[in-house]
Amino acid sequence: MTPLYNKLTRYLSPAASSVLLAIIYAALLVLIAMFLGSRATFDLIYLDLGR
Amino acid sequence: MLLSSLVGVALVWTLPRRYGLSAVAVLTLLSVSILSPASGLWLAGTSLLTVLIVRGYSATRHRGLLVFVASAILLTLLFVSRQTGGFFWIGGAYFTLRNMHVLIDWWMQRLRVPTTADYLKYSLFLPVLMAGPIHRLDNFQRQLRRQRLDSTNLFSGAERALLGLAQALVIPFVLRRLQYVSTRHMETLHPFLLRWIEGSFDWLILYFSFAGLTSLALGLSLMMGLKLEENFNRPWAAANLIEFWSRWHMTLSHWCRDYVFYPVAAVTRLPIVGLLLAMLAMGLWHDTSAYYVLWAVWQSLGIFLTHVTIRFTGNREAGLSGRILGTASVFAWLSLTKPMVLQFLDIFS
Repeated sequence: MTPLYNKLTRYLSPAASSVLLAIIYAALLVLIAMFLGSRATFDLIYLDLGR
Repeated sequence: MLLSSLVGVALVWTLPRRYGLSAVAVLTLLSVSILSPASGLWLAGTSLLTVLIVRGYSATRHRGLLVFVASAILLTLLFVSRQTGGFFWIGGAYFTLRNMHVLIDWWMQRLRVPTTADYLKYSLFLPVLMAGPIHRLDNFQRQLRRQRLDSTNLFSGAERALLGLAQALVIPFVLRRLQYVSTRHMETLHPFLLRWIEGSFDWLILYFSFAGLTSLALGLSLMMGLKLEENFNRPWAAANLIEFWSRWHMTLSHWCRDYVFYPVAAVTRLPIVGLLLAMLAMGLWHDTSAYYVLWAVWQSLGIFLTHVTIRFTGNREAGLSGRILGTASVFAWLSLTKPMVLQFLDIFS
């Protein structure tokens, strides 16, 4: 039971929430894979903050 | 570092409980040293110095002097690191403040003296090394006692880390593109207005990347069974600038409040001096430059004016329109920081 799952089950059935959650996770992973490829962007944000 | 943190999670889950976080500490030192040997040495040296003082000199009558000298060493190292171009430093701004918090609280006898192992687990905790939060030792010790490795923490932490990483990567990228597109054909615009637009985007980009990385760090910590301090509490819902600074980068603003504002205000009996020095500490923590000195003056002026306004109008509970107006005024003041400070620097130079 994650916070996002709990939020989804307020509006949807448990089965629909699980499916939607899986879609959200997949979309996030695809986005992260796309943007993590651009190391320059990531390093700029991450390393500048941690100086 | 991200991959190392995931290895850390695996170590915490597979090793016996008493060795899990010790292994993470070793992993932290290894990861930092591989990326930047000088930072590894700095991190290890200052952590050992702090724990040596806290553990070894409990009986001394000269605690204050010892803390003063150690803090001077820590701050000098931070300052020197800022001046050495070409080196690649990791996390110094964060672990310097953590060590100073421990030293000052030990001096004021507000701290339960940690074991060396516990202190090193605290100081060498990988998820928070790069982008905070500046967590406190007393809460960390409490979390060590309550550490809970279960599926709820593991999945909730993973979800938060995933959302945080996506937020830190995707939204700032989109905002940067938007900033580029919106200012591309505006060369003819007055420099002040151009800087104002840039300043507005800068705050939004900083918020989404920093809050995202904080979520990543807190998510990874939760996966290791530890619940650390939050760094952001919906700062854009703040009704005024005072409220904003108590919701934005909370672990840093609380640090400056506890170790700069309160002592200075108590000694001088002048809260305005405490405020100015606290904001100066916060500004110089970001970078040691004239820009951040003026940045601190600008933020202090904003907080002072907010105080004056509240005194005259009363601190009434704001309705929806009041809150919207409050948020708009906070954002206007913050976004004006860049153009105003650069304008002053232009005049002085």
